[in-house]
Amino acid sequence: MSDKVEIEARELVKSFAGIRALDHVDIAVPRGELCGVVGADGAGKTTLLRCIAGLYRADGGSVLPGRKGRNEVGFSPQGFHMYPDLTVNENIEFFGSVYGLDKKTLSERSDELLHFADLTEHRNRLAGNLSGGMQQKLTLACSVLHRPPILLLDEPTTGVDPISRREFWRLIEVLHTAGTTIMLASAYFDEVERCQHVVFLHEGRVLADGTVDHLTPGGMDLETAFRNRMSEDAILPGKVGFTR
Amino acid sequence: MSVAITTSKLGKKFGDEMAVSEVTLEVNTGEVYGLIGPNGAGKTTLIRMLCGLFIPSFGKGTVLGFDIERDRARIRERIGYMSQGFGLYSDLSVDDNLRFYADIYGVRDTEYVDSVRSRLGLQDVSGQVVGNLSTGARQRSALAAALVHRPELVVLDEPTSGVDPVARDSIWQLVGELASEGVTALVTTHVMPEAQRCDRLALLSEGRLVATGTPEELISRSGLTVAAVDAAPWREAFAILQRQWPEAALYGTRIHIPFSGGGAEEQAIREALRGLELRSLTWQRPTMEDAFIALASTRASQ
Repeated sequence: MSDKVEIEARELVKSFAGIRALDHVDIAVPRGELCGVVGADGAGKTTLLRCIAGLYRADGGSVLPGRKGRNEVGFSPQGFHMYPDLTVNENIEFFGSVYGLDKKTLSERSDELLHFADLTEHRNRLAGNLSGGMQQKLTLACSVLHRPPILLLDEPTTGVDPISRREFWRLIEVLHTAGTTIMLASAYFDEVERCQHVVFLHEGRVLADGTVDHLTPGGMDLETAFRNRMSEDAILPGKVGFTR
Repeated sequence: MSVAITTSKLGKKFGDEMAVSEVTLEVNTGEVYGLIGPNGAGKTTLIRMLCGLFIPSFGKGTVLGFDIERDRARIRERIGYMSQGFGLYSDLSVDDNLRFYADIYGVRDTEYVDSVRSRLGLQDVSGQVVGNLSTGARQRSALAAALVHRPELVVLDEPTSGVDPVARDSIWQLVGELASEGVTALVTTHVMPEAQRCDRLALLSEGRLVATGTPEELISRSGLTVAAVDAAPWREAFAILQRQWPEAALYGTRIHIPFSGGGAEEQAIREALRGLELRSLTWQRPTMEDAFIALASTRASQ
């Protein structure tokens, strides 16, 4: 597997109404890697993914793929964004047409993805009537219709039960082992533990990043490691007065 | 030890469907008791029977010594219930909501309401309209509202769903503190590391109790051991192992395979990976999530 960097933020800065959502963020994710970004609400996870997907223009620094590489990215936003009053099939057809897939490709991809997401027998159900776990799988299927080499997932398993969550991770594994570069934002430490590369994001800054082993010396758990970094950060001299 | 909740063969039928059947359990006073189970397992239905919101179809139960069928009004006065649906007025401020709930319960002790508010770290947002708050602050406000009348039992239905790790921790810390003051907590969650913060757990699947016990007991009862394999190249190793053991899962570049029973499969793993570089093969305890999935599916397949 080549080490070419597929997802990158360099000195990335993004502010909203004078408040810094991302403050000089540096992250590099090589091709084929699964990277988990964990942090509290307001840490900047969603803003980071949106900048990488090219949905937001950075105020400073640079990102890859960003606006120029938008076609290479599959983006699965937080929450449920399918049309609840359309069927599973109709949603897939709609997103396929957005990606400009021709009819034949779309019908092949659709069968393939319904099978992949284990939704074949639900293809004629209204998306709004699916369980939370199935909705998440449908969202994922729609975000990879155009076979993007890069996939961005924003808290994809929030609120689903452990069984649906494990099923969802099976799908992530399929994409990951097939070589897709994936960045996943999550609020759950036991979830990012399954990633090759973990980023602690806090108040718009990267507190630490590396493998789980690297971040958890002496067998400490990942959540404790995160808390330790957060409290170290809080007492760092010179932090006060940082432009916010 | 006094008992806060008892049920005996408790059941609820909706039409032809048994949402809950034959649930017999006991929750001690001051205990943090977790209800876990897949969606549709009957957790919320069970909770609603205990809170006096649903009348049981079968069996009986008591909450704080009161009969869940006859004494529903008395039970409701003494418990704090935080439902999954958000219970606060989103166009009112946090303080207005707390005052409203305090009035309903006839609470005059405003000092106590203040202390609840500050224990949940809500001072800074107390004047803000609830609808504009983050999920974490909203859930903490809803918990505060469930506590204003000093309930002896709090019933929390997925209190941390959609809440970030920092706010989640503050909710669980408060639940722990309340328990040490003698307040019993009945909590549902889908997040297994949170379930492990409970004193005891009941696992429901398809309306039935599958297992009860401490988190450690449930993990042991699953009968699982997990092989952790570090092999190179990991993609090939994973493909091979998953073909043979579909439960194999990736953790970084390591592969975890849960097995029921002992470590008898070690030789089979080594053989499957012949030709690849096996860096390490160790055996570890399953996670709560591994145990949950094993226990919930034994039930479903019976």
